[in-house]
Amino acid sequence: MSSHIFVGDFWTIWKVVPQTLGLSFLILILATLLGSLFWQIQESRHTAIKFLYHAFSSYFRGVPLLIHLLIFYYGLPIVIKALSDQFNWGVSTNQLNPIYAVIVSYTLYSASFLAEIIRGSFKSVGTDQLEAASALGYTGTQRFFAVWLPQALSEALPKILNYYTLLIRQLSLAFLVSVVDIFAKAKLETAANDRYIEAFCAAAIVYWILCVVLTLIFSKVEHYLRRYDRSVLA
Amino acid sequence: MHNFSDVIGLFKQLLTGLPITLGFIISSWIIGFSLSVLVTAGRLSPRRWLRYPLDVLVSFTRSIPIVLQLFLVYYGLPALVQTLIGVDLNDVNKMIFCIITFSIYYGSYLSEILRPAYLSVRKEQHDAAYGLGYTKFQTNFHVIVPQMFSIALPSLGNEVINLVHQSSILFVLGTVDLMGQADMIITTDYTSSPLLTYFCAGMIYWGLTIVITAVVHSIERYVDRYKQSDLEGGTI
Repeated sequence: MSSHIFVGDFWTIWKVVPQTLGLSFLILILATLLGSLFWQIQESRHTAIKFLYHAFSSYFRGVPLLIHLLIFYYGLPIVIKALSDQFNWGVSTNQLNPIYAVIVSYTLYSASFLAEIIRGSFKSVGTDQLEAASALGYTGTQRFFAVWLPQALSEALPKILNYYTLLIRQLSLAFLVSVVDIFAKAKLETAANDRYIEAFCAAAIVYWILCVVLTLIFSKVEHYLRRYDRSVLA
Repeated sequence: MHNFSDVIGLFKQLLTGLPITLGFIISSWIIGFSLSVLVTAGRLSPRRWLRYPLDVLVSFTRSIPIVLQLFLVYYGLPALVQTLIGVDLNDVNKMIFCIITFSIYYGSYLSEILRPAYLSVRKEQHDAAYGLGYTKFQTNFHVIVPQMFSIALPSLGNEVINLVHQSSILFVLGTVDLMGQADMIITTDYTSSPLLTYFCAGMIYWGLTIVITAVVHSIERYVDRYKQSDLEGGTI
């Protein structure tokens, strides 16, 4: 173990942190939006739609993320090519950036988990709150934005932020489709200088710093969101 | 285009990797879970020299992707052992390194489930058991741990499924488990379709997940059998 190689690796790896955080954030936003949509689909009155959603969510939660990623990596160009030929988009799929496969597969996978978090958070708001809002003459929209959403959000946001740190770690699988994140950068470094232990230790330290700092920030956010809960108890 | 018998043949070849995957999952789970009981006990102990290092270990393993931990152990452990005691580990089976990695990971990770579960059992339960003349060990073994498991079980079940899913990453070291077979089919057979092969492997993982979910649910029902009778009697 040589210290100057370790320090060199550390700074090289540190440079890909912004893009890793950005990509995870993009996936988180897309997955939260899609998860909200899934929540609505799940509440649908049609049995057929409900059944289809259950099959879909069981598939996405039952198959490892790694396999989803590889399926989309090989499958996405085929699907886009078929659509392109059908509607004459003229999109060339020979050089499709693998980052799209990462975004699509991670978004669908995460959305199937986030849908449960979102559903649980909206359910945790008592019906008495909604009845009280109706009794005060709130319209349906007002009731949703002024009463239901704020309370559900303070319940959901800590869990969604927690999922963000998980996403950063899960993104380490992206090296399989040659998308460069923290771990992939460490692997590229080992390929360049053949020093495995230094690069992997440097990547581990980077992940550790990131997770500890993010967890600290997120617990502050959670503390802030729950400030009314405490005052009721006190 | 692939016909039906091709798909059957594909499944047959993939399933030859299943025993290795299952063996890996079972041994990692048993070692990891036993380790996590010790780690939980250590983190609950009042001794600081025991608690702080374990807290650091848990923070470390929770923050770092499992694939990176796998590489750290695979490259780091032989070098460490070589310099410390001079034993060459290069010929050791790759599966051993995988089991070591996952045992350490789950050993510390599961304590994040067991510790809150232990703490959520109310203090009166301890007091009542001491009042009845139970020793500390008897209290924990007969009173606290059974209640703790009914709380921890759903999360533990999720972690088993997590372990099954995470075991799919082992093939990056070149193991011949389920995913390793899929990788081998794709690299050796040029007529094979990667899409179909991965999809079939995914189906096997999906089946495994469904079976484990069903088993965990039936264990949950068994463990919670007293809770339900409480509810029916209206004495909760």
